[in-house]
Amino acid sequence: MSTTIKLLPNYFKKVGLSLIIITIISIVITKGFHLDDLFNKKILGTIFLDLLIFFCCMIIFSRDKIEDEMTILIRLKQFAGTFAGIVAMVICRNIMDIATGENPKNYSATELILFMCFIHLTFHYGNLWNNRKSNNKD
Amino acid sequence: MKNFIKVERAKLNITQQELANAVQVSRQTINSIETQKYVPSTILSLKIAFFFKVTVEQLFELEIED
Repeated sequence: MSTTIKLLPNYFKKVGLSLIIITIISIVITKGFHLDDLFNKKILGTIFLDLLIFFCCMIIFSRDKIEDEMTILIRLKQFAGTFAGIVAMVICRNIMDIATGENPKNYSATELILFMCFIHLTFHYGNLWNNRKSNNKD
Repeated sequence: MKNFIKVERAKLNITQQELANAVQVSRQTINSIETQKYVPSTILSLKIAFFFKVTVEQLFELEIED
C-alpha cells in the first residue's frame, strides 16, 4: 500500500503563484482604468474570483519539494483545520451580525471557497515554516 | 513512543540527511521522529530498521502513555 497521495508536480506552485499575480494585476488594471464598465461587472467579477480559486487550488494540490508521509499528515491536518476554521468563521460572523442588530449576511459559495483557499495556504505554509524552524533548532 | 534512531545513527556515524536520503524522506521527518514529534508509519519504521540492520522492536519502544 502506498503512503503517498497523487498531486500535481512541484512546478505547478510557481505556475499557480504567477497566474494569481497576473490575475490580481488584471483586476487592478480593470478597476483602475474602469474597463469593467465595458463588460458586465458581475460576470467579470465572477470570472476573476473563479480564476483566483482555480489558481489557488493549483498551489494547494501540488507537491512540496520533498513530499513524504509527514508532509501528507500536515496537509491532511490543514484540510481539517481549514474546514473547522471556515465553519467557525461563518458561525461567528452570523452571531456578530445578530448581536449588532444587523441581518445575518450569507456568504456565496465562491467567497467561501476563496476564503478556504487563503486560510489553507496561510496555515500550510505557516505550519511548514514553523516545522522547519523548530527542526533546525533541535 | 521512544526510539533509538539517534543512538543507531551515532553508531554508524551518519547524519540525519544521510539517513533521510537512504529511506527517501526529508531530514525534517527524521528530526521529528528522533524528537518524538512524529510517529512513523509501519513502512517507514521497517525501512529505518532495515537500514540499521536491527528489528523494529530494537529501534522503537512503547512508553506507558502509549
